[in-house]
Amino acid sequence: MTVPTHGAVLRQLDWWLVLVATALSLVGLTFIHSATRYDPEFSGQHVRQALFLSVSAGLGLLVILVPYTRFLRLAWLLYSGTAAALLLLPWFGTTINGARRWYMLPGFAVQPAEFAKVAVIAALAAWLRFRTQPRWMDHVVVPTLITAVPALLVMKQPDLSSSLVFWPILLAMVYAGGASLRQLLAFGVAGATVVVLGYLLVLHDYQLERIEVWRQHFAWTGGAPELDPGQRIALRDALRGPAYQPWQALIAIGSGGVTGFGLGAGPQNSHDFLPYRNADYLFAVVAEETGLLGAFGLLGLQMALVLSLLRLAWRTRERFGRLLIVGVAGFLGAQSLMHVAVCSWLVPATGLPLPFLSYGGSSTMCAVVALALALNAGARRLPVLGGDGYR
Amino acid sequence: MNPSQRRLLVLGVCHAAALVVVAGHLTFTMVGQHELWLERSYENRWAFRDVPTRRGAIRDRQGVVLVRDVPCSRLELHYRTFRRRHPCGVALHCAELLGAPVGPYGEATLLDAFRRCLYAPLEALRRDAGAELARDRRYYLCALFAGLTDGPGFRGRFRVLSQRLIERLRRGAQGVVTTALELDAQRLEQVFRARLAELTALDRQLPERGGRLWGTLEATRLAAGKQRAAGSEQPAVERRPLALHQRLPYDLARDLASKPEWHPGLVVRPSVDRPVAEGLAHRAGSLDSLLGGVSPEWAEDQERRETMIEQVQTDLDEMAAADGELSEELRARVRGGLERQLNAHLMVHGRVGRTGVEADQDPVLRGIAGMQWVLHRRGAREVGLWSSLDVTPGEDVRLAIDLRLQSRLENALDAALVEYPKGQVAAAAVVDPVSGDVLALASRPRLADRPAEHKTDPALSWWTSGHIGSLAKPLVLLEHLDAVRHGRSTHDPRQFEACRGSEPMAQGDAKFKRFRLRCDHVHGELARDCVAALGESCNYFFYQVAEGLGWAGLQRAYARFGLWRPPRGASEPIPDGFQAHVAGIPAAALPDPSWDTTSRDLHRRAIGYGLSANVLHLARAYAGIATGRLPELSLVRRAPETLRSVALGVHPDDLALVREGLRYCVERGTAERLHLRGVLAKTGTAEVGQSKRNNAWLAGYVDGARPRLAFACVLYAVPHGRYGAAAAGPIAQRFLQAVQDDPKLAEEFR
Repeated sequence: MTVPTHGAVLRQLDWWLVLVATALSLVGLTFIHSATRYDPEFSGQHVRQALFLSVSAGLGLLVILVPYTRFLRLAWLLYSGTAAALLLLPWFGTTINGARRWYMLPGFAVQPAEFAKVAVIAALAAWLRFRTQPRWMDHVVVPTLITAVPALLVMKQPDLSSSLVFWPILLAMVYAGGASLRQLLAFGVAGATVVVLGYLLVLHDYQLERIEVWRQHFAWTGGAPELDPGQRIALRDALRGPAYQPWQALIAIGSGGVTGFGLGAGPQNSHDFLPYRNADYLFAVVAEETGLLGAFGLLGLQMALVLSLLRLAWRTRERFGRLLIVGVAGFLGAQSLMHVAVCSWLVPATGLPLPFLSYGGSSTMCAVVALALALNAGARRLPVLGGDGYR
Repeated sequence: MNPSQRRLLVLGVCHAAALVVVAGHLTFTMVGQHELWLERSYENRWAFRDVPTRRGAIRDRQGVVLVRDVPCSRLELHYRTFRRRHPCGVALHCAELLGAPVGPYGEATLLDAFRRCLYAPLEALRRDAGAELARDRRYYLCALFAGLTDGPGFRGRFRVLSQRLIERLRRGAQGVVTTALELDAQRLEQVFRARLAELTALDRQLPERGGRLWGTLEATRLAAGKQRAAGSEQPAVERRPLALHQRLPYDLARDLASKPEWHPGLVVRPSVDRPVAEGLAHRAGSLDSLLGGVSPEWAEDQERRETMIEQVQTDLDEMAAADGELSEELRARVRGGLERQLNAHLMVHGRVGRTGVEADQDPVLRGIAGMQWVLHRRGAREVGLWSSLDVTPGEDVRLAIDLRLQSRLENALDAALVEYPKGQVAAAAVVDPVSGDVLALASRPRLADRPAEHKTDPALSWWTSGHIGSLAKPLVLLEHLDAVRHGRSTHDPRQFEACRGSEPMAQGDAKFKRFRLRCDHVHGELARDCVAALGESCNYFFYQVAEGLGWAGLQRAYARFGLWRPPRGASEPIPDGFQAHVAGIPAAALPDPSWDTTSRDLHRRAIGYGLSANVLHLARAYAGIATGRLPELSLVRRAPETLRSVALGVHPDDLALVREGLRYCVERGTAERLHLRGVLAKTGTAEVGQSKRNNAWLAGYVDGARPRLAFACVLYAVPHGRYGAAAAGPIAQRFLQAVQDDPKLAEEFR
């Protein structure tokens, strides 16, 4: 077997994917600029984001040039490293807004939870590589444990939203890895049980409050409901309190209409009503300023990204590489969908960056590296002796 | 397609399906509900806000300003900001968090607290001390030093210090916080002392009460601590701005407003004060309650009020359902009462007339508010003023009150009340008999001396009314004379019996026969002469008059002077002379219309028992006797063409006889000892239930070709043994003497 040269690898790259990712990144830069231009405290963030993207692209190129099988060997090391980084956060991490999620380094901060997602993808792919038969231990118990360790550590920070992203990745990978329908059902039942128990026992008060206002908001969004004075006061308090962020995001999205207010002209954005609009609510800025057309355009790009990744996986016969690509598709697809769903208050409010678009060094780097891994696996197309052993 | 590829296809389909759901939701929100969200987006940004007007002044009859708007600067304390941002507030709270004993706000305490913060050991900021406590200590220390150092902005400075401190702690640094943060402790202390000196100076310079700043800060700190201990994360006392001073001197306001960052938490706002003219309170003690007050309605108070009223309404509905029926009238009364109480509760400061003349004349005084179209950002920060309309200031209101007469009446009232205990309820009114203008209206107790539940009553003593006693006799006599003239009376006056002091009842049911009709003295043959009977206030004469007039006659007698109206719901028309409302006075008790015409009370009604009225009603009635026309009363001065009065419709000779009776009363009768010259008047004493107390009255007018003054005075519930002339007489006596002593007034009101 000959090792393909770097030039050959680059020629074999799925440039369509690169193009889509680049388009998403440029859209991100544009709207980060739009979201921060009126705020002197954050006004340089699009430049910093461009820097993050450049550094991430360089790192991504390195990742592409290294044969991805080496990452197979490194998978468990990477996994252990990120798990350890998550474990040590309570002692060495920095608290911002009541959560301890970052390691402060000179000039920037690193969020290990983002890298844990890539590590889990690599570890699951490594674990499932030779496990083609749908055994409970191979496809349910061990993958769940591999996922649960970093997910629970992330949840402890607390960062519920990031911890939720791990589970779609797990589901996509075990399904692509050959899990049976019964096993998937078991995942569903276990997931529902965990959700109920979590709601009753684990969630903090502020998280329960967010779920409660989300449950109630469907009655508010349909127009002016008939409320007695007591309910009016409760509604006002909710809209000023736990419901403030998603409500303002919904106003931004809904008021955008079909064509939007125009770039930089979104009132919710420019008048500072929309909080965290450079990261967790970036999609609301896009929808407000470019309307339904822009929002659909963005969703189309995300769809194209995920489908392209799945098409790449379709072509990749080598199992580790294919699982890796499926994991990346699951990660990017799930996180994008969750971000949009949170912005449009289809699910309870929580903070998740939009991959390639939202401001943030760790999340950008993580998304680019994950994509680079997928491109790497797709470009090499290693020969395999046989097909999948499951039917 | 192999099974693996099929699974990838399923994953793609699942993703697409989820995307379709999200896209559907977006389409519904952005297209289907676009208008709704667009409206909400506009509501976020735009607000229509009233531009308050300058409220009109209230003047007296001569144009003297009684109360007016004065522009000023108000100093507010936002305690939460002060505690978290102002170096003095931060220092005190930080020292408290560091475990130091914290005394009350004051110069020495704050300097001591600051030094404790300056040299706080780093050990106290580590997690070993407790994660939350350490976090709070770090916050306050960084906020303190950020507030005292120079740099781009507080937030930026705070962030830099906070990150530096955490880094040093992580590295295991030892020592004190200022060393770790590489700060110049001496320089910090210098800046802190400068801020402290400014606050101390402010505390001293605040007018009215010294030490107001420190005192308010300390009281707020203690209240907030108490509320926090009770479980409130954001104590209410910290959420609302507290008014430190309503009228801040200009130089202080300028200094504070020019550098708001220097003293966070102390905010200077443009404001308007509405003080009663200087010296007026002293000269005219009743005017404060007569003029009333203005106050704002805060939005949240309005909501709370609506909630409470709705709740009462619901309770009333439930009560009605349980009890069968509850009249609309009762519901309206309960609701009205609740609204009054809440209005009183909301009386803090502001621009809407709440009580007295301010409330009654609010539509005139208020003017037309302007409107601003305001663009604001989150946190109610205003960033643009896009439109404003013209603001029309309120018009001045000129009262009928004559300040010269008012002050003399107040003095007379005070002098007459010297021998009574504090809290004695008394009132006096002086009206112009021709125009009906209320020239002076005084009452006791003063607003400040009244119990809390009566603070918002226009004035306790004219809002309240009492049985009028013998003041009713001239009115009954006039009806008697008119009835005799027109043959309505069943009793021939020539057949009237002499007064024997006590007589068995001749009228009514047999069961009342055992009651005896009493007169204070044995007036003998005088009871046959109507003039002497009135002057001597012979009850026996009037018992016989009542028997001749019957119920209908008595009602006619009082209705003629606006003291009776048919009970609500009765078919009879409301008499012409009845005045339901005195312009300028928001509330006044009306004469009680509910007479039981089947009882033995016929005789008692003829001598003023069971008939309630106040000084205004009676001054008006005696003005009617003076002029032959019943004027419409008003506290607000009116144009001559709008004055109204109702003719009494009696023969002048009858009226002259009644006047003769009043003259008899002053010269030879019950008011003889008062030596009132040129005055026709009548005394009245009404026993108040079984309490052994009397309402003591005197009412009359200054006689002349054109009577200028009609008056009525009362002392409610004086001890038994004190009668109208002795108790209420001195008020009129002193007042009239004071008018007489002033040549100008004497000339004007002769």
